Amino acid sequence: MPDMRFAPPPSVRIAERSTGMNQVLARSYNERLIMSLLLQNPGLSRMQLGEASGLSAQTISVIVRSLEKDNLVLKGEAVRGRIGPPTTPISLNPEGAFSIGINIGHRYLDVVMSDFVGNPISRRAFVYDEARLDDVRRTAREAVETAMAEAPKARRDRLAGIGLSLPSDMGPSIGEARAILDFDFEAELSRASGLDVFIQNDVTAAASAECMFGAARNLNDYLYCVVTPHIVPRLVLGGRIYAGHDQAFSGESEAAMMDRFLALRDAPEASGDNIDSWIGTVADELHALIASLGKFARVKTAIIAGLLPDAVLAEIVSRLSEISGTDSETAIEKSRLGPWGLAIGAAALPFHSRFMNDSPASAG
Amino acid sequence: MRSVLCYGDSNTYGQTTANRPDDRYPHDVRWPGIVRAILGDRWLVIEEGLSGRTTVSDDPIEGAEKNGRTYLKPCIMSHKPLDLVIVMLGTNDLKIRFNKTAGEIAMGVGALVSDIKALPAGINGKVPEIMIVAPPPTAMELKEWSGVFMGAQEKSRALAAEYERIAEAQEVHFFDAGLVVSSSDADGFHLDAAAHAALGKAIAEEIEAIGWGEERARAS
Repeated sequence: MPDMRFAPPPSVRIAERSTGMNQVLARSYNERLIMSLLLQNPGLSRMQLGEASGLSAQTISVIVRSLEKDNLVLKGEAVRGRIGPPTTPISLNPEGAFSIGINIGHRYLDVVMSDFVGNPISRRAFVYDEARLDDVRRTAREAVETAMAEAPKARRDRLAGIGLSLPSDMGPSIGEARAILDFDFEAELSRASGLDVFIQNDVTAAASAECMFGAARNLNDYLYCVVTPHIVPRLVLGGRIYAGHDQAFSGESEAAMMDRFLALRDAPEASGDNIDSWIGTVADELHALIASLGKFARVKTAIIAGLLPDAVLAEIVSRLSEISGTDSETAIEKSRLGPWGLAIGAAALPFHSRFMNDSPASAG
Repeated sequence: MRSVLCYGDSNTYGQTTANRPDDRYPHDVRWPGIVRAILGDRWLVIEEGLSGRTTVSDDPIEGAEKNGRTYLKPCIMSHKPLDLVIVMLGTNDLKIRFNKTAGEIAMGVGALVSDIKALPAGINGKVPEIMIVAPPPTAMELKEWSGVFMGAQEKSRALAAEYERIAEAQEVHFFDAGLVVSSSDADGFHLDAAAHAALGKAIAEEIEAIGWGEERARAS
């Protein structure tokens, strides 16, 4: 055996010599650290990355060069074969990686293809009367196949995986709900796509995505509330996500409310009757939730998300801010993930596993 | 003031392309002198070039003192603390007497990097920043040197990629001198004065490109 300290070095990660996405997906801890920093602070320079990470200038240069070769980051100005000024802002390349996110709900299934910074490139919603395993399976599989078939080859080649998210409770039909929650979607979807599949609770995944590319960037402690027909809260402390109890509304049946949600999301301008009083109800419920939490923990920020058009969510946030008043200890923020936030949360799962270190929130 | 050590061969020493053994460009014409002129008020530029220096080999013809590895440690310890060490070697390893592939020449540079990393010669006992520079390829026509450098035309064209592999594996800075200069046609493997000027300017830019932030506290 030769002395392995003097073995030939591994090949440089140059795209034309590498084996495509597999190579892109295998990243060192330090590379993940740099990508996490860039996700939270787009436009950091190499010098700032050095200060923020404590890594040496040479380590940063090598990492940036290698990420750049794999098209995961963009530099301000390209100098052929040279690293360029240390103050050049560096950002993640939105086209550097893609993923498919699927969010399964009681009455709908959302599918998005997300770029590397959380923008939905394409999306589709499927609505059914009641989630039944056979329908959900088929819809999920077909949605993945369609999303892949529709994507240009360059994008398909850069798919980091599939994220799938489900609520903790799958609705009224106990038998079907159990069947869906127990079903091995991982095997099913990876067979259909050849991609790795990552599964997580829907609101937890969204809270984590919010931390990666949304309103919770750089926040370690926040309350996250998603308005589905329930209000589903998650408390994030020190980057760990803690689940709470869903809060159902009194009054309108859940199915009917979900239908309204989906209709509203499809046609925000046709918001129709009673939306105003409903917004008031939601704001009151949220206020009560934040107030009761405040008795136990001081949380500086509450982020409100929902499967709702931005205008409606903005209205909820502004009402809530009014009710809370200016002396409130908790600032109210609107989610930046948009009306397909739960599916974006699912789409973020492969990115998180592949490219990030554990700084974004993880389930506690 | 920061300090950089330029560790190299005849192309750092400033051997001219004229075929006279002791002919050397003046200090302000050699590339380290160009770097000094550009960065001089902020950097102490230390020049350590030797004609015939190899990466890690005693030269059976020119002598054991040509071995870049045995001289590296005392050299670095003489000049510490150092912010940056630049290594530009490999041209002499192309000589047929050493019978090395491009990959093995690069491994020699890698060995030097390991040696530098093993010395606390940086600021506050850390390791200095390290930059390896791939020498430019030889000219295709090596004239009276073609016997000595048999096969070097092809091997030298493979050096940059091999050096980059080493730089990446070792996590050090890398620069390909071939991006900005070529070997002189006069003898086929030395740099002329214009090339020294171009290389000095490029290396000064690369030094700046490392990014140095605030002047670090020095052990007084």
